[in-house]
Amino acid sequence: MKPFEYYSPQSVAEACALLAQLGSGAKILAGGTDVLVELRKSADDVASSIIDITGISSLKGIEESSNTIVIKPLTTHTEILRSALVGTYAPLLKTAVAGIGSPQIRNRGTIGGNIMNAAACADTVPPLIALGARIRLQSSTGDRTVALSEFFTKPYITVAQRGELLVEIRFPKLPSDARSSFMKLGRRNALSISRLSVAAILTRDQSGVLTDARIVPGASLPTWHRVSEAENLLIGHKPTRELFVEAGKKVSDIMISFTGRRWSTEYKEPVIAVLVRRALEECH
Amino acid sequence: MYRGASDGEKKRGVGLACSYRGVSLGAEGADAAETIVSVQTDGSVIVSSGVTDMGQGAQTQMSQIAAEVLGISMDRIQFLNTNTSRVADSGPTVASRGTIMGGSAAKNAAEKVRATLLDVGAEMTGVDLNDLDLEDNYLVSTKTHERMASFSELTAACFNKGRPMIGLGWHNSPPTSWHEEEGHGDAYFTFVYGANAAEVEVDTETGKTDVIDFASVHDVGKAINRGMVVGQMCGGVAMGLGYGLLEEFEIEDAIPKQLNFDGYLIPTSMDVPRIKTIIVENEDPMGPFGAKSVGEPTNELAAPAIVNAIANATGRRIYELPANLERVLLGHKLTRQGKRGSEQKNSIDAMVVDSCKIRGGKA
Repeated sequence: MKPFEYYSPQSVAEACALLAQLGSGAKILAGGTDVLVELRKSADDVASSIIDITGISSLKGIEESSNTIVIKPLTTHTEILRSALVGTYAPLLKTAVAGIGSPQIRNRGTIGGNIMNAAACADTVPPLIALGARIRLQSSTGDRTVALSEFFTKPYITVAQRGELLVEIRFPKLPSDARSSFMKLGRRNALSISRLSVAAILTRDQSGVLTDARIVPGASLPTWHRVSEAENLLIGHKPTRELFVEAGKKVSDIMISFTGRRWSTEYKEPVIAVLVRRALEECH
Repeated sequence: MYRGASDGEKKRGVGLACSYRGVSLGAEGADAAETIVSVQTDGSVIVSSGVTDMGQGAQTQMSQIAAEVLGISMDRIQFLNTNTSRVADSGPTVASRGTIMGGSAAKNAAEKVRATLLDVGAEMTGVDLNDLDLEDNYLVSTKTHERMASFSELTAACFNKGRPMIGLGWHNSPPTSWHEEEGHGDAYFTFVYGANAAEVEVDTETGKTDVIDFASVHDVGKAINRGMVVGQMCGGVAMGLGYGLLEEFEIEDAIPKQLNFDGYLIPTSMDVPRIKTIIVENEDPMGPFGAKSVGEPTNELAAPAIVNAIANATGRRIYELPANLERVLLGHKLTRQGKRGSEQKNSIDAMVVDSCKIRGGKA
């Protein structure tokens, strides 16, 4: 392991000042489940400074305010899993965090770390984008809010600037008539990285016609976003298996339009369609 | 759910695999072992062997065998780790030979000490040697069932009479033969028999296979320690399940691609079903108290049973392991070209999502 400087700010302002001062060699430590592994690499680009933000108590917790749920970035996956607010107003997020890593990783890993690490398989991101989450980034010079769907530019790359710290994740409560789901396919039943995943939300009116549909595939597109082409196939119709199959096929086509045909396409092409169909059926 | 039953997305199947397998090294080479049983003046016992225990329980088996012969409880025994400066090189811990070789040598060693102890016991008590036994930490009369002396009193007497209480036990396996060019011979002096049955549920739309039930049956000759035999059977199945479904080791341009357990997946407790273990005792004259082998035989049947179950479920046979998502769904493996996403995150221009893992992991 390369030696590194260690800082432990006690406030957001202090953390932002350190980020500004230390520049590109600084890395934020939240849960540490990614950063500590990275530190053991021998590569030249590993962090030279670690800013441990775990002491900043204002960055922890889950709150509600009227129609909004606010999750602070240091909230662990286990805390999200146990949150009644998340269980009621964002059940697909609860499903997603339940499948992350192992109990030990869920006890340490944070939602903020999952977002900022920006791995394509991050399990909290598809549900959060489906929920319409926005995140707040703070720096020593100010703060700004970004829609999570516009935050990622490439795997591991986001629009966050050097010096910016994630301080809040916020999304509207899911309406009580909405149904949601999260489907994950991994190679084994625990401690498994998503090979593919899908977050879905469906809302229907009293006659059963779909009034809202949101589909966000994970680990399949270069960046996460809702697949409106597939959603539009659903809205205004009564849900049927054939319709869900069609929506799955559309997501698969869209995926290939982004990625082209690659070594893994032969597998992902049929399977993402299946997962989308199942996610939609689960919302039924 | 089963193949013929319906067209469901998830199909179940059952598969069976059977084996008979040569015990110990057989005609592969020299096959002998030494175990030393050294009884101390205070009645404690030190056992050591050239057979190395790396966690499978050979020390316990050898100690149990010595305790059985000496009629003492296990708490009197201390086992010394293998060191060939004080006990003979007994060959490698391979071929499931620990119990049958080290244990036979332990039995042999303990029997030598036992003969001395009974001889001294006869002198001490005036009872005929043939009417004496060692039982429950006592020297007992087999006629009256009277306890004549405690084991410690007996060992103290033995020491005072200047009689040796050390037994050097040597076991050389029975003769075997093998004619390499003609491909025949009596390659092993005895065999073990086993069978595994797997029930799987195959997601025919994703290739994900879950083993939902499992039974493992092994003829072990005699189970010296039932808990350890069950442990070997369950461990063997779990490891075999990983071999069958998960563990992929690829080499590209002479460089292994799986360098850590994030890429080389072994089963978690969530992947291994409850395993029904059935011990068959078929006592063998070649083994200590009839014991044969149980290590490797438990490991080699799970993967074939599982792929047979997959074939039963899907109608399609897998010829290459592991039977992972791609092989089960497509019938062949897919090979990543180039590095994983996490490895090229700093040269990300042309990158699309190939595979994903935590940033910072090495593949």
